[in-house]
Amino acid sequence: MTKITKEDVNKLTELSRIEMTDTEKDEVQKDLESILGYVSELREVVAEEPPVEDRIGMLKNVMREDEDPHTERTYTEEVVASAPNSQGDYIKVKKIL
Amino acid sequence: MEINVHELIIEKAHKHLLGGDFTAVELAEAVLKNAESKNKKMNAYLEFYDDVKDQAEEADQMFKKGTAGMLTGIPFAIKDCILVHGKTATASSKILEGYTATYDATAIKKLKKAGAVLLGRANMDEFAMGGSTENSSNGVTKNPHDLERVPGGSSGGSAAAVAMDGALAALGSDTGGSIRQPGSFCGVVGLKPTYGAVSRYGLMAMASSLDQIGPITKTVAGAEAVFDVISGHDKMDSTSVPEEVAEKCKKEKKKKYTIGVPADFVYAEGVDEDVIVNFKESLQYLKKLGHTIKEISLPNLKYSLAAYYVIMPAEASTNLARFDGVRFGLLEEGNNLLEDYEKTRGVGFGKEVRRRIMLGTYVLSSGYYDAYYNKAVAVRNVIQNDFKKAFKEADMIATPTSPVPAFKIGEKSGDPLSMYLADIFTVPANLAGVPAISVPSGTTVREGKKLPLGMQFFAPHFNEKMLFAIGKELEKK
Repeated sequence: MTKITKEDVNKLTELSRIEMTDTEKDEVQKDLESILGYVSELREVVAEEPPVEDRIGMLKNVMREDEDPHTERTYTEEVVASAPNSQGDYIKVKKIL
Repeated sequence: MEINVHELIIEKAHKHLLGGDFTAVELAEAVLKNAESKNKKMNAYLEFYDDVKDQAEEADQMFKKGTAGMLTGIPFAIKDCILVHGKTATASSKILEGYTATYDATAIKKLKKAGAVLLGRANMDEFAMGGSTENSSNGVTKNPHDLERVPGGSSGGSAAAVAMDGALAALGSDTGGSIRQPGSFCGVVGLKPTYGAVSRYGLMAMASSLDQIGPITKTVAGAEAVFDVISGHDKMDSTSVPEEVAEKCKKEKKKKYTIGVPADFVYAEGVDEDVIVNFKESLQYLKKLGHTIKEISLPNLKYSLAAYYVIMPAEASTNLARFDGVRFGLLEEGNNLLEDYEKTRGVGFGKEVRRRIMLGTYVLSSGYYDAYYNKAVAVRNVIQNDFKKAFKEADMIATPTSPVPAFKIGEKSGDPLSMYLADIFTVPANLAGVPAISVPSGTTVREGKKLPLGMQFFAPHFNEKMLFAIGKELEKK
């Protein structure tokens, strides 16, 4: 049985940057315990860890020359327009310092 | 000629359009009219596009010029996580409310070039997380065969749109069964192509090593027609596979196939009796046609679901980090930037999405990374090796698509684990990257309503043609 404590849930909400009420946290605590309990059956499988390059799902970088740039401002307006808060050609965020 | 939307399939519609029995505009209007009227109850579509007629007129021009193909003028529903330039795309999430796509997904670009007519965007589980479409911020989609039941998910809106004759085809996305399971629940065909066969460019990423775009159609030939158009190498997706590599994997066409059945996996506890009976009947039918049915062993297949529910949330938690109230959609303001993130994500993400982000964060955090994530990756390789061995003994592998027929709305929504267990037969294909198709195989009766069942076939990498061949035979059953 995998035990998930209240502190674990608090840490997880902090790491994943999700604000939650105490009721929501209680609920997710139970859910996580039951799901992690289920996936723990993986421990039964005797599997050697494959070398990194043989792992399925491991992404490889596909390199290319830095060429054919698009013309300046082709996408600027549309992209800036999808941001909730912008000014001119800039996306606006609160100051961090 | 009068258009009977219920009887229309892509192949037939194409002949009529080519023969001038009706125009693409007339077809689009007829299908749209039916879709709009059915949608009031079904909630399959979130929005109908306002340029349907313009698109259909362009398709008619292609017929006039002689440049029309199989998909020209064919009305499509598009899952809400696939980008169509200038149209709203929200992945059924509050966090993307009001977001307008700034470019076309490659699959969309290809459909547009082929002259397909995009009718609108289809409902889904938020960010494709779910198996019932109940996790949508826009309310559940109903199953056209029984309005009290779910259409499956996460591409439930796409499958329901096709099943209610509100589109002749739809695009969905499949990370663990999200095309095939709703296909089986709604009585339509669903294909998850080989990983890397269809570009993921412009598909909102859920779990990048598992996601694929694929078609939902009424017939196998229809799925094949869509697949032929949307597949192919794309330099905009680094995991897209070059054609010459794909070609090398293709096996010779056969008239009679050996179909492997992983018996201990299929005939297991928790699989509905009617599903088993129907599956055995379908195997008998294929045997009568001259195919060989062979029991095979894939000993680690039973661990697929556990490996999937570690790898998928791990990747999803990473992918969804980009939704922070800065660049897209919703912003809930706090007192500083950190609070902006936390409030936006707290309000914007639904329960299931939060659950998976937190689960993914947990399995990736130091101290648990080796026990969960690395272990799941190792098991994934073991499962792929099982498949490699199995494909030496059999040409393809068959299982039911879902262990149960469509369940009632609300039946599983309170218990995430029981919802996850419904993915048991579909996730292995995503883990191994092999193609798989769900084909309608009959019905079962529940409370007086006929509910569709589906049979699933897996083929080796890039052998979709094999799936189409066997699927076409099964659909005559």
